[in-house]
Amino acid sequence: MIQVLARYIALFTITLIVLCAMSFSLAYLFPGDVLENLTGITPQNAFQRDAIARQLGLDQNYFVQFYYYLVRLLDGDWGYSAASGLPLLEEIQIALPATIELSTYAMFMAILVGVPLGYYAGIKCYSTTDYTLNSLSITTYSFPVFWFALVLILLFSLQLDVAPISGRLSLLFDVAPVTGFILIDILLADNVDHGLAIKDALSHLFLPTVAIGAITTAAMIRITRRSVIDVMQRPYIAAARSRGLSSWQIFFRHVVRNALLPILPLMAIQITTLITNAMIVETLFSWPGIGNWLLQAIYQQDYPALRVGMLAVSTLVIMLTIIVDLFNRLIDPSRDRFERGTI
Amino acid sequence: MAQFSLYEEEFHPSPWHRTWAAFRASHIAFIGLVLLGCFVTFSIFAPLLAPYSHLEQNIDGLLIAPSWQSSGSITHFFGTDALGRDLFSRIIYGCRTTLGAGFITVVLALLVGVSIGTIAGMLSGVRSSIVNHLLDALMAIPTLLIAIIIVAILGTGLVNSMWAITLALIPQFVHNTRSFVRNEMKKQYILASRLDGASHWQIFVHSILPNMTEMLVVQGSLALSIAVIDVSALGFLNLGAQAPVPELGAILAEGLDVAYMAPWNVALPGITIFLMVLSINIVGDGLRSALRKRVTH
Repeated sequence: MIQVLARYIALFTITLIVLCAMSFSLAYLFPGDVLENLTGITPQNAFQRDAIARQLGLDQNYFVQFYYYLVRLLDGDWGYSAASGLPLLEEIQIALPATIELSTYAMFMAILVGVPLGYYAGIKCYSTTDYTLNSLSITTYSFPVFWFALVLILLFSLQLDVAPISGRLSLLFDVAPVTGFILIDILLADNVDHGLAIKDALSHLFLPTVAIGAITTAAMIRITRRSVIDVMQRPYIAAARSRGLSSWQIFFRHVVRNALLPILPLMAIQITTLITNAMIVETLFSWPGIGNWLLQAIYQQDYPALRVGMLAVSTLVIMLTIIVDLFNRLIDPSRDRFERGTI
Repeated sequence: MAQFSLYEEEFHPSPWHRTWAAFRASHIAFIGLVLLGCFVTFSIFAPLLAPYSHLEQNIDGLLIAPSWQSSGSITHFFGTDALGRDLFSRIIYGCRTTLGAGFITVVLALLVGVSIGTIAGMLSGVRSSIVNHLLDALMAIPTLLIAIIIVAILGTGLVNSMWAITLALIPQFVHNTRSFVRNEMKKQYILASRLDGASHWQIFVHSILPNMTEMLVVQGSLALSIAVIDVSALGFLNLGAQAPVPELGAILAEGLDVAYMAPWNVALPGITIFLMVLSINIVGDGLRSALRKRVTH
């Protein structure tokens, strides 16, 4: 147990250092001046330039430079955005939680809707209900997310007028970002009507969450269904049936928990898809998240922002993946390390 | 092995024949195959099938409605876009770009992924462990992020976005090949050929590869649907194919400017991408269940 934990911590640290090295090398790979890519500051004269270069260790070899880079990352000195001139750490602290919030709700939707439906389809396998659910999920799964979001906007915002088309909260509410999560921030703010503000925030959240969540839900249904069908064919189910247990007893005692085991590692793969989809959908709904921020950065050629944005997003995704992996290993030690289930 | 009448049958179907029979038994899978066949035909014979050139602009016919609307005309089946280009021709060429780009990325990723995966599967110990862990980490980085970085370094363009998608697809091929090879290496027939003195390369070519092709076809079909969605998503975000190139996502993004006046410019490319991905998914799904049926029976 402690050995496994140590292994994963070592893995995480090594991956993090590799990512930092990649982010550092981007300063050299991106077009433009290395110094500007690293800091986001355009030096006014040669004197200032020398001073900054000495501070970054640019006169020494790459390893020393990388060491200085790591120290600055840990100090929270991530450089300044070339487009807005603001400190990048602050910008990311506002943008990243917005994406996490959106993805969390979409994941909740996928788990709350997808897993039960998957169980249902799995138990009723090869029946009409199963075929209907399966075709529905494969259809939803095939939607390109950007087009699906556009259709939702067209339907709910323009035709039915039940949800706002873009943004995160009506400008009437003045909520200061404290945690970055809009619903928590509203509860923390004391100068707004909480009920109205939450209602407004939820109406803004509705469409992007559905757009991202629907695709993950479809994937979840397929994963769960497959897993349930596999479990139902095991000998212990036949044994339970021959002992005379009712199908409900078999389901609750033997199927539910065993079917969950292969779902978890596949969920780890879904996290990546989910965040990619969230980043795309953000641009359509002008959601102030990290995807929107990164795309703005690339349109404006804001290289310092891309350098740390890449680091922040990949760290987040890899951290989540490793945590799910570790959790999976702890609850199911019998599983081979490299084994993954199929859909 | 419950092969009851195996030796009494007149005709002994090969594994591929049996997979094909199981595949054809599912009507939905077959319809998906026909649909995919249409898209492949569109892609290969685009210059013959398209009524107009994909770049030909017609100043007199801007934003003509599709032919099934009362204001539309049959000369332009899907209508025209804001520059007077025939949408039907653009979509046919778009299928060619999107499906072709997706196919090339999948083949590249498959070649690289299978090579690395086989090496990682045959090796053991520290080297294998490093490859595994680094790849698992790489697998987690979203495609869009890789694409953004590659675009920032090399500039926008269809080819650059294809590099990004290839990079993002490689890890899953490596992962599957590795676990497959590891499992096969434990089996007796590999041991037998090893006792015969076969080298690693001979074991791979003569014993493992023939067993792996089916797994690779299924994986490839899954990867193709991801690749098509990614190519069009990057085109849509203006990071992939640039303006005059007929790429379905880029056509959709161009149509967004005139979405109120000419909604078909957004709807039709979107439906095309959707149907293309759907047909690939259905075929992949059908193949997988056909293989599963063959293996379990």
